[in-house]
Amino acid sequence: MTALPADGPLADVRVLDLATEMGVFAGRLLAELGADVIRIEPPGGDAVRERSPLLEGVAAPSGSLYHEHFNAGKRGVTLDIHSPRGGALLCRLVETADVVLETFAPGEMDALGLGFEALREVNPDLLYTTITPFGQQGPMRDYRASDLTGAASSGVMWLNGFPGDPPNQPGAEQAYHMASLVAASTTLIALLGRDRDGGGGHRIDISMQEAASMATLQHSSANSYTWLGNVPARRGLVGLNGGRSIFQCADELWISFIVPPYRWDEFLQWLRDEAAEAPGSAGSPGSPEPTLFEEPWRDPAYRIAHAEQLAAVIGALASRYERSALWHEGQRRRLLLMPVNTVADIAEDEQLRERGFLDRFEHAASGRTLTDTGVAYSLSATPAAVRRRAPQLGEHSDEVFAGLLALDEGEVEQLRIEGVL
Amino acid sequence: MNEPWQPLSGLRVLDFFWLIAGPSTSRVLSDYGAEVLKVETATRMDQIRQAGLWHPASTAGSANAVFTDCNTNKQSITLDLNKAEGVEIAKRLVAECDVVTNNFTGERMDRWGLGYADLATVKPDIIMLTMPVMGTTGPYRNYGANGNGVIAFGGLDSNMGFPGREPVGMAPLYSDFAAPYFAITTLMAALHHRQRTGEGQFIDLSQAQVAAGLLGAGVLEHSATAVVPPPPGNRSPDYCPHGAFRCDGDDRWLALAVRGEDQWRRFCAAIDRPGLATDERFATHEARKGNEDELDGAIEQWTSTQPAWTAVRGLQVAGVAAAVVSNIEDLVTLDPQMRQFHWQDVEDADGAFAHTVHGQPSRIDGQTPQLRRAPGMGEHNEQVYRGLLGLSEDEYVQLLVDEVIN
Repeated sequence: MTALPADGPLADVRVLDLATEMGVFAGRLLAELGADVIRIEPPGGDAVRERSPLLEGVAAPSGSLYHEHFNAGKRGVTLDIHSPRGGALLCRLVETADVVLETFAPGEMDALGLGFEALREVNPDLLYTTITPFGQQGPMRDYRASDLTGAASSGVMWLNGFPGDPPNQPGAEQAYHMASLVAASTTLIALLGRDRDGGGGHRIDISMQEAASMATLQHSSANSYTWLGNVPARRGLVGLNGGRSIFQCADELWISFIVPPYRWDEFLQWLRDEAAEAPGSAGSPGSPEPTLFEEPWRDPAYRIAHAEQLAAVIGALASRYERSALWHEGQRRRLLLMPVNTVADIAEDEQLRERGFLDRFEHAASGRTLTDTGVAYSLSATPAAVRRRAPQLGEHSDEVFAGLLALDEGEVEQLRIEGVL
Repeated sequence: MNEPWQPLSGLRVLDFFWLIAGPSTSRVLSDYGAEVLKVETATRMDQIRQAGLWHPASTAGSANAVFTDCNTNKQSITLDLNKAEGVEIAKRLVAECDVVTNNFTGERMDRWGLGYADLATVKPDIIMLTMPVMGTTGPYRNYGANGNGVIAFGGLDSNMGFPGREPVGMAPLYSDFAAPYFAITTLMAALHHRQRTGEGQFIDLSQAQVAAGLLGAGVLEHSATAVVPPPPGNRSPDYCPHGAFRCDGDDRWLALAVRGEDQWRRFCAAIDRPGLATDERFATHEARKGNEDELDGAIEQWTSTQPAWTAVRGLQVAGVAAAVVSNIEDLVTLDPQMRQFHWQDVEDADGAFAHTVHGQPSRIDGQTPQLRRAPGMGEHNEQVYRGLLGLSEDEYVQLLVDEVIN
C-alpha cells in the first residue's frame, strides 16, 4: 500500500451522501477531490449494493463491483432515517456537514421532516442537492426513471444506432453519469458562492433529463428543428469526415480514423507513400478508382459530399496495417487516429498507466487484487486521488457516531439493537 | 422574479478554449456570473464560429447554433499571441484574472511563454486549467483527436451496439459534454482551496481519462473476470424487460426499464396482459432474462399499437419507469419539462431571429442562469483593453494598427 496522497482541495468539506444510482457518482467525484463523503445507507444496505457486475463467490452486501467503483473514496455508515431516532441522528450529522446529496422522489425527504427547509434550520449554511429524473417541478416530476429512460427522455438515445435499428442505449449508464457530474459541479459552484458571501444555505436541483440532454447539443441542436424543421435521425457513427469513421485493421481490431479538413495534404502524402510501397493501392495516384488527388477533392465540402468514397480509401489503408502500428503512424503524420478500445485495452494502455489513472488495490471482501479506473485530472498543489476503497456495510458507523457525534458506546450499541444503525 | 443568484460573479477568466468541450466548460462559468474573456485572433478563430448550423436569415454578424450554445454570456477579445507584444498584453490580462483556461494539445501555451510557470510569476495565485486530449504528461501526450477519437479511446464506442455486429459507436460525442462538468468540478475545488489558503495551482485534465472515467465498473469487472463483455444492445443484467420498443407511427419508440417483482406485476397490469404475469416463462427475473426475446416480442405486440406518448403516460400512472425515445421535435414542442424549464431563446446579433439554446441543466434556489447571446469576435476589445487594462486611446489604436489586436 502506497502512502496516502496529501490532502485534496476539498479536505475541509463534508458531504452526506444519500444518493442511489442516479447520483452515486457525484459523491465519488467529491471524494476524489478530498471531501469527507459519508455514505448513509439503510441498515440492510442500499440498492447500489445489488447492482451488477457481482463478484463471483462474494455474497451481498460486498460483492457488487458497481458499489466498489461508485462508492470508492467514501466512508460508510448505516442509519434508518425513516425512524425518529435515525432522523434525529441525521440532523446531528447535518450540523457538521456542508452538503447533503440525495436522489429521493420529490417531497419524500420533506415528508420525513428532513427536507431542505427543515435541515436548514439545523444548519443555515447547508447546500442541499437533489438529483431526480425530471427535477423538482413540472408535470413529470413524479415520473419514475432508470438510466435507460433518462437516455431516452433526453434525446441522446434517439441519435444512437444504425438506420433501421432500434435506438441504442449509450452503454455504462451515461444519463446517470451526466446527472451526477452536473450535481457535483453545481454543488461546488454554490459552495464557492456561499463562502464568498460569508454563508447561507442553498438548494441545488438537478434534472437527469436536462443534464443528459446536453450531449445532443452538437448533433441535434434545437435550432435544427426551430430554424429548419429538421429532425436529425440515427445515422450510425458519422465522424468529422462526414462519413463512417470506424475501420477494421489487419488484426481485426477497430480504429477511429479522422482526417480533419486542415490535414488533407498530410493524408495525401500518406497515400503517396503507400503507393510507393504498394503500387495501385486504393486512392493512390494512378489507382483505378476515383483518385483523391484530383482537383475537386481539395474542397472540404466535396469531401463531405463524397464521404463514402473517402471512407472506402481509408478502409483499404486501415486494412493493410495492424491497429497499433496504424495508430502510431497516423499520429506521427498528425492525423486523428485513435483505437476503439475495449475495457481490456484500457487496462493495458501505457498512457493511462503512466499517468496513474489505473488504481490497483486489494479488494477487502475477496482478498483479490483488482484494477479500477481512477481520476480524470491531476492537480499540482492538492492532489485528486481515490484515497480509500468503497466501505463495507456500516464500516465507519463507530468512528462517525462515537467519534464525530461523540455518542457513548452504550448509546451506539442500543441504536444497533433497535435497528437504527 | 428576482435576478438569479450569481455565485461566480467577481471571478474573472482568461479563456483560450476553442471547439466544443472547452467552450462548454467556460460557458458554465459565464452563465453562473463569472466574467469570461474569450481570446481569439483573426487568423486563429474558434473554428466552431464557422462550423455549425445556420439560420436562413443569417448575416455577417450572426452566430451559428453550435457556437451560440457553447459561448453564451461571454466577452470576446482578439489578441495575436504570435507577436511578442500580444504575449505581453496577455500577461497583463492574466494579472487581472483568477483563472486561465486552454485545451491545446502539445506545449503551445509554453511556446508562447504562457505556461503555468510563466503565469505564476505574473499572478502567483493563478489557477490554470488545461484540458488536452491525453493530458500534459505521458508517452502519448501530444496525440490529437476530436470527440470521435476521445470516445473511441475511452472505450465508449465498444460499449455500444448489438452483439455480433460491426461497432456502431456513440453518435453524440459524449465526452465533449461530460468533460465540462468534470472540469468545473475540479476547477471549483481548486478555487475553494485558493479561497481558503491563497494558493493557486495547475490542473491537468485528460479528455481521454474523462471518457474512460465514464465506463462505470467496466474495467474493474474485467480485472476480476478477464472477459471482455459483448456490446449490451439495449439490455441490462439487472432489469428485464429493458429496451426500446416500437410504437405506433413512423420510427416511434418507447424505452422501458422494469426491475423487481413489484414493477413487473405493475407492468403486466398496465399493459392489460395479466397472462404475462402468470406465465411460467416469465415468473422470475432469471426466467425473464432466459426468455427475453419472447418477452420483448410479446411486449412489442402491445406497444406497436400504442402512440408512444400515450403509452408512456399509462405506464407512469401505473408506476413503471418508461419514457418516449424523444427526438428534437419532441423535446422542443411536446415535452412539457423541457419546454417549460430547459430551452431559452436568445436574440441573434442584429435581432432578426432567435436561437433556441440549452439552459444550464441545473437550478440553484429554483432559478437557472439567464442567457445572453454569444459575442462576435472582438466585440469587447475596447471595453477590455481600455477599461480593464486602462490603455490610453493612443496605445489601443497602436495595437490595432500593429495588428496585435486583430
